[in-house]
Amino acid sequence: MTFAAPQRAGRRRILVTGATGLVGAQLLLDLAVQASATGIAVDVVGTSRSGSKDGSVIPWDMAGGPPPVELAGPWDVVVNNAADVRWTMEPEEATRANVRTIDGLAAVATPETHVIQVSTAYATGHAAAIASADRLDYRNTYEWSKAAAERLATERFPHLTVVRPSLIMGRRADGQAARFAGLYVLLRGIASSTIPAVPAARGAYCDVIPVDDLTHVLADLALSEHQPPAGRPDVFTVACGASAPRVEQVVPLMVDTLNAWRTERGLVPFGQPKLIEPEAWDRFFLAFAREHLSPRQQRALDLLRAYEPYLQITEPRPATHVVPDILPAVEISARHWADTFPRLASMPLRPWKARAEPQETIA
Amino acid sequence: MSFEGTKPPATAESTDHTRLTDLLLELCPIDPPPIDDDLLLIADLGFDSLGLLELVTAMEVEFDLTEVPEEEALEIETVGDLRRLLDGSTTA
Repeated sequence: MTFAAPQRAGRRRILVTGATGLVGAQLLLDLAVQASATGIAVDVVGTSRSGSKDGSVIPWDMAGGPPPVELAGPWDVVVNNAADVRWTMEPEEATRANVRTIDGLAAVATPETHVIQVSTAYATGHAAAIASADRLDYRNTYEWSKAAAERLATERFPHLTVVRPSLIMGRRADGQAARFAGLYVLLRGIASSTIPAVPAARGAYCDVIPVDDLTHVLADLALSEHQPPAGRPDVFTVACGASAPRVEQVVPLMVDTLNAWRTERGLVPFGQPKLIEPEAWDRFFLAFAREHLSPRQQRALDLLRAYEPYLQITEPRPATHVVPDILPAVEISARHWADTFPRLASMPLRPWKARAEPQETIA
Repeated sequence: MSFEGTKPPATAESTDHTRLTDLLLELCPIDPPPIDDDLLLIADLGFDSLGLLELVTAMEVEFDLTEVPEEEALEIETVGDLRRLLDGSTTA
C-alpha cells in the first residue's frame, strides 16, 4: 500500500522519538533519502532518552519531564518509536517506558499533528484486541503496555495512525541494526551455549521483518499529506503474514549461518539445537532440567520462558502490509550479528550436560 | 573509578581491566557511555537478564575462569561488580 504524495510546498516538520533505537535510527536515514528522492522539503528532528554522542539526537526522557526547548512545536508529524521492548519488564517499568511516554508526547503534539504510533503486531495479545487492561490477556507486560499505549494515544491524538510491526531484525540488504533483540536472543543464546534447546510448536510461524521494510512504510506515512480523519485512527500491520517462515526453518538457518562464519575462522561449528514441542518441553525436558542441570543452565531456561509464546504461534499475523521473501534477510542478519559480536560468535562450544554428581565425603 | 581516562602503570590487573572494558564495549547492546564502575549493567548499559548471563559466560571464556557460582552471578549489578568478580576470581 502506498500513500498520496504531499501537495504543499512548505517545509514539513517531523519529530522522530526513539531515534537511536532499531527503528528510529533507520527511520532517520529513510526520511532523508525519501524526502530527497521526492523533492519534499523536511526538517527532521530526532530525540531519545539519552540522546546521541554526536549531539544530532536530542536527549529527552519523555516520561520524566517537559520537552527541551529544541522540541517546541508545532510539528506536522510525530513518529513515536520510543519504547522498551523487553518482554520481562515489571508492570511499573513497562508503564513508565511505554505508556507514560504517550503523555509526554502530548506536550509536543498539537491537535493538528499527525501522530504515528509504532506499536507491535502482538499488542492484541491473546484476545486479538487491545481493549483489555488485564495483563492475563497478553503474553507479557510489553504487549500489555503497548496495548495501553494504543488506547491512550487514541484518546490523546485526534489524527492518529498506529503501525504494528511483527518482530524486527536488521536491514534486508546488509543486516545493519542499531539494536539486537527479539530473534537475536536465540542466536546469542545458542552462541554462548546458554540455550540448550528451543521450545517451539511444530509449524509455528516466525514472523520477523527487516527494519527497513518497516521504516519505508513509516517514512511514506510521515511524508504523505494523508491524515486519518479525527477520531478514527488508521491501523496498519506490517508483517510476513501467511508467507512467514516457520521456526523450524529459521532456527536451523541462523545456526547454519553462524556455523559458516565460524568455519571460515577455523572454529568448531555448533550442533543444531533441538526443537521441542511445548508439551514435551514442560512434561519431560524441564523436569529433566530441574533435576540435572546446573543452576546457571536452569536460570537460562527460566529466562527463556519469556520467548516461548512467540515460538508457538501457529496462526499467521493478519497483515495490511505483507513483507515477502524473508529467509535471505534472516541469513544476512545472522551473519551481520556475528560480524558485530565476534567474541560471542567465536565462543567455544560448551555442551549441555547433566552436572557432576556431588562427591561423597568422609565424615 | 574509571577504566578510561586514567593511565595507571601497565600491570596485569590493569591489562585485565582493559580487556574487561573491551568485552563490555563489544557486548553492550546500546551505544555505551564511557565505561565507569558505577554504571548499572541493565539500566545504564541496556543488558537484559539473558544478556547478563551471556556476559558472565563470556568473561569466564575470555579470562579462563572457573564457572562463577550462580549466587555471585545473581548479585552482579554494576561494572564495578564485574571488576571485583574478575579481581577475586581464579582461573580454571
